[in-house]
Amino acid sequence: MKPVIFIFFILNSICYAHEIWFLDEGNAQVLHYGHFTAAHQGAQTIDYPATYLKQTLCLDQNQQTLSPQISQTSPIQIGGNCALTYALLSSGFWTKTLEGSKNLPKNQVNHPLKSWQSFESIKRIKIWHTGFIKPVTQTLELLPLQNPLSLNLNDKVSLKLVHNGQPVKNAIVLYLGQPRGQTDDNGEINIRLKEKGLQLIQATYRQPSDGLQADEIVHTTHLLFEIAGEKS
Amino acid sequence: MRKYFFISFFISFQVCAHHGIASLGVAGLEGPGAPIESSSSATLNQQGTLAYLKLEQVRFKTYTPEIDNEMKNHSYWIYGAGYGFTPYFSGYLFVPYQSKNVENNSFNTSGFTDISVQGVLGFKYDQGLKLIPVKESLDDLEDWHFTVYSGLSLPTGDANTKNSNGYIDGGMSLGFGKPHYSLGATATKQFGKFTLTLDSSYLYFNEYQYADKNKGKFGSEWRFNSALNYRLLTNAENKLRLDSILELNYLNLGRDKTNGEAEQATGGNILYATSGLRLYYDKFSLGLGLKIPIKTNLNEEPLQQGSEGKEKYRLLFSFSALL
Repeated sequence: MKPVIFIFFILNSICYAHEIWFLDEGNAQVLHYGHFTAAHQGAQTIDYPATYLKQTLCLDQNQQTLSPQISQTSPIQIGGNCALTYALLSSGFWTKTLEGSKNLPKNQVNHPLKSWQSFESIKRIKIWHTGFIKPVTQTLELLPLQNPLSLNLNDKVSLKLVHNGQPVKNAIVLYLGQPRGQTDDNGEINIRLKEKGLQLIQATYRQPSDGLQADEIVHTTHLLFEIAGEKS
Repeated sequence: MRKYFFISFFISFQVCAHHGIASLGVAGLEGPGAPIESSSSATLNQQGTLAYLKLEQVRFKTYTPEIDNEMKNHSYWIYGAGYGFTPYFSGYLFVPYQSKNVENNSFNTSGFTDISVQGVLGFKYDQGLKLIPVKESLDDLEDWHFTVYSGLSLPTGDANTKNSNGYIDGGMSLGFGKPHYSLGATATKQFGKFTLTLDSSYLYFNEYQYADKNKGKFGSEWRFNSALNYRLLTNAENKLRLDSILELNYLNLGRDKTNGEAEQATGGNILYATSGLRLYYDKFSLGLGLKIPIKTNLNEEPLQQGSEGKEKYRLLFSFSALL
């Protein structure tokens, strides 16, 4: 009984948003955009301009910052031996109109219906450091509360969602593209790992904006890590 | 008629005291399913309120060809309300109404019976036992969940209902005269589209002296229920879910006592099978089930017409809403 309102809410809020993720190719990590789950079944990636990339971070296994080589073309490639790789992208302002969604701020279109500024980030953990339970940026981040790389299939990973270092409550969290729940008052949620291999967990936080260029700022973040075995 | 004194009383109490109804009448589109008759291990959201209604129509087998005083049917309406004091503790209030009819209508009764209150404590196993937290993900809901519950009735109904001749038949009365107590425990586990529920409970009755000076004490009741839900379909767009449910419901009835002596034609063991469907829509849940005895071992079987185990069927209907 207790889950009634909650579950209906999250299922009612399924958003078929795009995802971003890294795949290793040679000595670099390639940043893909599209549908991660489908990509494993037959690649559904979408081209994106390299100008979307706003920020990157590469930390080694001692949590020291590295300066990897970053390609200037799409898809973006990040070199270096990063234990933690972070990338922030923004496709800018979007406004929904009667003629469809336009990649423009609200004040540059006629008859705006709804508008938002989009930020998407991804954090990949390849090698664990205990410091990674803390945020590495001031943006929206999913923090693993234990070493996720040591988990096995069907284990649960405990996560905390933060923005500017503060817990974000009631945010919807997706795993394999499906909503699994909302964060609690501490920004925490548990997700069971039901597939082997790469794990992509996504959360979204909506923040009111100034109303001039956009009604709200939509922050979406991804956490990517791998557990033992290959995805079946 | 005497034989009904305790026999049919069981039936009325079982329905109003049986927990399970309310803690479970609702669920989400992907969370654990709720049985029809058994109690599951769900608790109400903190500060969540539940409104509940259960209808049960019981039709008994009759054995004599003439129209006599054999028990014909019972109907029960249970109105309930629940409140989540914390995520792990819910309280319920049940107000039952019953109608009992014999074949020749020589002694029919109807009216509100004893109200009851119940408390449910919920906990789960997730790397150890812990109380139900404020929020759980769908993955958390797949853990083993448990409840322990306890309740008591308040003697608000008329325990001395008389027929036209002034005769008191406790089995037809609208109350027990004294509180009775329940204690139970449940376990629930979701496996993908399946949900397994186990539920056991014990009911204890106090002795009561009726207005005609006779003393009656109903035998204790012990139940063990198991239920398997299967999620047939979900439609997130329309907030709709449909489950099929199969249950086995075991009931052990103790022998009643009248003026301290064991009463004949009371008590025994019954195994019921219940099949049903539960429909969820938004914050509402609708359950429909058919419960029939599939194996009985009553103490004086030929004399226990009108008792549990002697039903043709029990038709169950429940409705619950989160307010």
